[in-house]
Amino acid sequence: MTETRPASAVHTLARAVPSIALRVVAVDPGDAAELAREGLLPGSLVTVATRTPLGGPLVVNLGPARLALARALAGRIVVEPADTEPGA
Amino acid sequence: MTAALVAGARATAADADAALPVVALVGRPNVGKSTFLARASRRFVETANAPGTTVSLERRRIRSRGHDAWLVDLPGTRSLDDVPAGDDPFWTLLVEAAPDAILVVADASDLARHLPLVIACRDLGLPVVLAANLADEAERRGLTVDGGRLGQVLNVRAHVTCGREGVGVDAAVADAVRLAMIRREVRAGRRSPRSTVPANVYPFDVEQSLRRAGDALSSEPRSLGAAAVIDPLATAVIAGRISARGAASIRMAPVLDPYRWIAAASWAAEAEHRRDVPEPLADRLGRWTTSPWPGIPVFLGVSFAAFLAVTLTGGVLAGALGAAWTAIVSPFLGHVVPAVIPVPVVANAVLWSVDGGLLGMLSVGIPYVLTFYLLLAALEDSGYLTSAAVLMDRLFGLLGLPGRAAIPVLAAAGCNVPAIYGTRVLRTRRERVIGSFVVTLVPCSARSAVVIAAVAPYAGPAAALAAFGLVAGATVAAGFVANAIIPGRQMPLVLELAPLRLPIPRHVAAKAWWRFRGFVVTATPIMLVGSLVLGVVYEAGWWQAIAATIGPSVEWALGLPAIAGVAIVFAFLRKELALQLLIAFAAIQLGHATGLGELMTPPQLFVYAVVSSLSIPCIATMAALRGELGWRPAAGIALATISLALGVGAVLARLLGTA
Repeated sequence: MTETRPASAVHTLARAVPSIALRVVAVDPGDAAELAREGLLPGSLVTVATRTPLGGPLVVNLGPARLALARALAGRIVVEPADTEPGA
Repeated sequence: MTAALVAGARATAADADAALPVVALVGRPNVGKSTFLARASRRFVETANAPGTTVSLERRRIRSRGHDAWLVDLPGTRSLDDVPAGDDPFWTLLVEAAPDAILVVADASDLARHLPLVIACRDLGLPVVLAANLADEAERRGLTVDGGRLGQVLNVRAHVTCGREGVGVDAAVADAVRLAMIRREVRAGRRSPRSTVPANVYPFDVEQSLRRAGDALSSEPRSLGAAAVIDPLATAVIAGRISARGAASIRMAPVLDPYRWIAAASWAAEAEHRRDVPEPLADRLGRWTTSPWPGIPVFLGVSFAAFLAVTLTGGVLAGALGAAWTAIVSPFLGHVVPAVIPVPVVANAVLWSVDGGLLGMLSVGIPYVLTFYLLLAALEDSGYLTSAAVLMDRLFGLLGLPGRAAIPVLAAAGCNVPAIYGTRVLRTRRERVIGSFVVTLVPCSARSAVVIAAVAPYAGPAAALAAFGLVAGATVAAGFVANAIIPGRQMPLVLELAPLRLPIPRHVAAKAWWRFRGFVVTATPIMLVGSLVLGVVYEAGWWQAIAATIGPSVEWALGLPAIAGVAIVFAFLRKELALQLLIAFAAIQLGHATGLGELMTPPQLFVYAVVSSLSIPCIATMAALRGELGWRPAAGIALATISLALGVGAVLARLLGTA
């Protein structure tokens, strides 16, 4: 199975540290529709709440809502710290 | 004459019903829509999503401030093009409901994520009323919604409601009914339309392309011709069931959504007043249930408690009901049936059906099925199922199933039938097929009893445990293979966690009872007919001919006596009778009563137990499979279980040296 690894400078949600405010920069086009239905779009502010063990899903806070995302899918969501300027 | 009169009266009633305005109830999952509906219609009834090809929409006639109307309940959806139940996108259900107005139920705590659906509904060109529901939960989170301001910015009628206590529900429904009646009048030409200016959501160029897309959709058949692929949206536009702009807004959802979400966020901020409050207990508990500690121990505890509740309560109730039946009803039937039917063979076969069949229904249906449904409804309404789903996702992912499949799979240990209905908690058809397949392989209480009774007394408890281990291993392997060969792949998990809520007992009871009624209606005739067939085959002695036919193959493949094969085949009709049938057949064949130990060696009994546990699900399970998935998947699952049972049995027989 080949997997396109994002460059090391790019942070994905899968590797994010819990409780840090993050801004979504980009999502995989294949996941975009499904994520948009949950309100997770580029520009959304999120924090990782919990990481379940053994590569299980992540629980992400999106406003007052809590969203469970498969680890592989979270690995395709590019994020940046929310305190940086968008696009910086 | 009378018939004509009745038909006439019915037609008039139908006309009057058709003239009533229709209000559709739309909302994201977990907004408390079913509680809202119960308040609005003053009835607690099952409102869970109905999967499968035929999605029946539930219409309820309501009376709101002196006006009659239909309230149509639609499954919870995240967008108009979402596929919430079965295979149809949500908008097709909405078009089928043909509403005159839409009542959108939103979560007052999370308007920013719920308003985009309101905007999408408004784009359809129908009158929209918004109920910012769960206001009580929002208050606990320190959030007050200004309904007046919300209505202003959205340019729709907005109400702040609380379905649990019924606050604001009647006012919201009355508003929707009023708007629906006005729209009826306008459509009938009795009233001139009132022009409304929708709030600006989209920039000018997007509005332009929306209009062009609408034009294209309303002219599509002419440009493509009758033989062209039919576009369901265009068809709906041509049929006048949806406006051209509405259809275009569904088609262009990917373009429009970002604007909707931006508008929703700023409008929500305008209508919300926040103050700092400590985190509510329910939210804290919700966080705990998904963290590894204490989430995983809690999950194991809940699963074990659910298993115990179904098997223990089921066992106790089954024993009590069975005893009452054999003490009171059986002797009565034993006297009456032979008196009415003078032919002994026929009378006995009928007794198999009405006495044995109904007893089977009573001792499986009420104890196991009703208990499970009550538990499932309580777990569903508490919001805990989604937490369990997250924790188990990784494990069940190996079988191509999401974590929420844990609940029906565990329930299958009580009875497969409710567990198959329980697979409705799964989202895609693929998941439901694999989930149902795994469920049918899990030994239910009846099959577990057969395994224990056939193996433990002759080969020891350790062998019985080994038989269960073998069945479990075969089940996991079969699920793994099914995941590999069934086309499609598992969708990666994207799931909003439901907040934890205290279930409303009346709602839970009504939901469980509604599902249970469905089970009784489906399973009772099958149980009666199945038992009658079994009775005829047994009483007329036809089983001996069958034994002679399949005997050699059974002996060759499984190393079992011919009558064991017949017992396995006919256990299809009554799984719990697999052993009694075998003993009864043996007694007739040998001419004297016999025990299992005389009939088969311990290794043979082991093979018999494993094969009868894995093989073809019972007839009630088959009916549930057919009802939920259709004939083809049901037949496929049955064939797969037979092949698996024979394969495992044949290998076992050779390993144990019995064949």
